[in-house]
Amino acid sequence: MGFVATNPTRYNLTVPRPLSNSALERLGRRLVATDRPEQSDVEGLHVLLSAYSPVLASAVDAVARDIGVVSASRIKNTGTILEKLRRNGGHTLSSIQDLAGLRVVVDGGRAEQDRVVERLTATFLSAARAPRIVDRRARPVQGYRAVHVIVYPDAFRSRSRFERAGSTSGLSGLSAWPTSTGEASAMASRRSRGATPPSKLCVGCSGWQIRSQIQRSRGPRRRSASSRFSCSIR
Amino acid sequence: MAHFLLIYDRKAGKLLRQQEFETDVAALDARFAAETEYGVQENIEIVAISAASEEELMKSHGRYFLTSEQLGRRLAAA
Repeated sequence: MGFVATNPTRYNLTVPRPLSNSALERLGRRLVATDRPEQSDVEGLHVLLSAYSPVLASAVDAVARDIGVVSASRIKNTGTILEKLRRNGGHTLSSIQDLAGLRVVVDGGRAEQDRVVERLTATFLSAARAPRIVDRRARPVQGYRAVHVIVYPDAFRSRSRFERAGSTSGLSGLSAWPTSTGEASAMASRRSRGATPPSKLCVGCSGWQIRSQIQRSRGPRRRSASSRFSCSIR
Repeated sequence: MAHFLLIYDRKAGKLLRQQEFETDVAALDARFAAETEYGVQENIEIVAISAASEEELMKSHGRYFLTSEQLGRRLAAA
């Protein structure tokens, strides 16, 4: 069964929704129940990730059309997903916001970076939910400096992240998963119970800071002290 | 647009495989197949990335291609 984006003329999407949130939660728990996940569960994860592919491609097209930048994009790799699930006790597959992301590298200073962020925000302003911005340039975490733009395409939630690119002193964007821009932290907790799978669109970051992660408390409703959301650019 | 499969040994800091595909779907399928081949290993990173070109890929995801020293110099110059 599939569903059609509420604004198909803009995003032209008919995206299958492969798993319910409860099914995502169960899959997430199974994936990290043992050191080596069952192949059937890995394949289940692949089905989920494949669903993000057209969303990501659409986001890349939208950014290219509206901003004139061809971004690099990726679906989050399985190893990193499992690492993140293990840090969260295997309960948050549906809350991972950067399953898809794109990265835009902008040559220029902060003013130019800010301009790109504004344009990216405008690009996704008509989506189901307004984009959100988390500026890690002002408040770096573990040396990580970037601007994340979390966007919410109609069909999926997604997050976009802008990060500074290493030697180019510009923004790089990585994203394309279901909707969101901005900081990892906030997103995770809230969307975890949404009706659609998580996704995120990211823009901008230093290439060599890719290993850096953002880790923040999930807020007052967190399940336990160890229940934290972390964001990785990988 | 170019679509790449990269297999990277995080512990060794070495790119084990780089392969280009015609479509993002083909690259993603190749990634999934590689995950079956390698299994899920902590030190092996298997990614499918789309970029405008190989040059742009190296610009946006330099960590797969550069040494830590080169990455350090890149950051210092930023």
